[in-house]
Amino acid sequence: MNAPRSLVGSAALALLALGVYIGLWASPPDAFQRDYVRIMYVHVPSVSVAYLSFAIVCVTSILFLWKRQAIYDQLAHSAAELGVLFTGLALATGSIWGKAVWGTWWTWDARLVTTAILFLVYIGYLLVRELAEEPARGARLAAVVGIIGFLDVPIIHYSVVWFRTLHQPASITRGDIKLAPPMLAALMINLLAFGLLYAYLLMARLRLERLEAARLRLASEGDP
Amino acid sequence: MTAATAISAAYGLVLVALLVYVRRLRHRLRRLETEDQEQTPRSAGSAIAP
Repeated sequence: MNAPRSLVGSAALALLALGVYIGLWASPPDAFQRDYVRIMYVHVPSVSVAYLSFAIVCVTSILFLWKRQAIYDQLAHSAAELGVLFTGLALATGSIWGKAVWGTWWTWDARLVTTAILFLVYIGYLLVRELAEEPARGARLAAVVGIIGFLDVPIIHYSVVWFRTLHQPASITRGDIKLAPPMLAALMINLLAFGLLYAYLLMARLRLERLEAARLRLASEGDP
Repeated sequence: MTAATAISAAYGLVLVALLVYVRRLRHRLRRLETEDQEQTPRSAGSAIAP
């Protein structure tokens, strides 16, 4: 196995175990939400790596359309798949948290709706690639979807400021942290753990993408 | 919904989803890496063959 990838994977696993321990047992309950707040330690990191993923899709898609190098497209495809996975997890954990504290699995709230749109846009991105008859055309079309789809990320982020929403505003903003230090530490450890896990998954997914491209190349060279 | 149920559901869901994804990814990687290793000597051999 690839040594740096393996190292990152092991570090991610160790930090995730620590993050789960701190999130479930060592961090204190919230004054209002009590133990329900522990869902934050998986919900917020899931959303954060999803944002990071779609930022990578946007940048690499621009680079792909500009330079037409396969590596940018492979990176964009890998990051998009991971972004969909983590957005799905963020929506699911948010829904459980919502049922527990708001009393409903889903509400037509600006933050929730814009996140669901992001999820659907990048499922569309994956479908465009999958269903394209000509892979090169599919990659170009998907790159356009990947760039346009990213416009939704700042809308999601500021939706709690621009609209009247049920979703709470950001707990950490520039110069203002509305979290107690032990809870902030627990959140930071989990953010780091998810970040490392994401790095491991991206390296593995990119390797897979490159191997699949090599196999397709070999197959097309073998065709008469 | 009790806190224990909500927390178990959220953490359980994340854990299961990540485990399934990692398992699937590693399985596909192993299969393609094996194929790649099988192909490499064959193509190198064909390149030096008369």
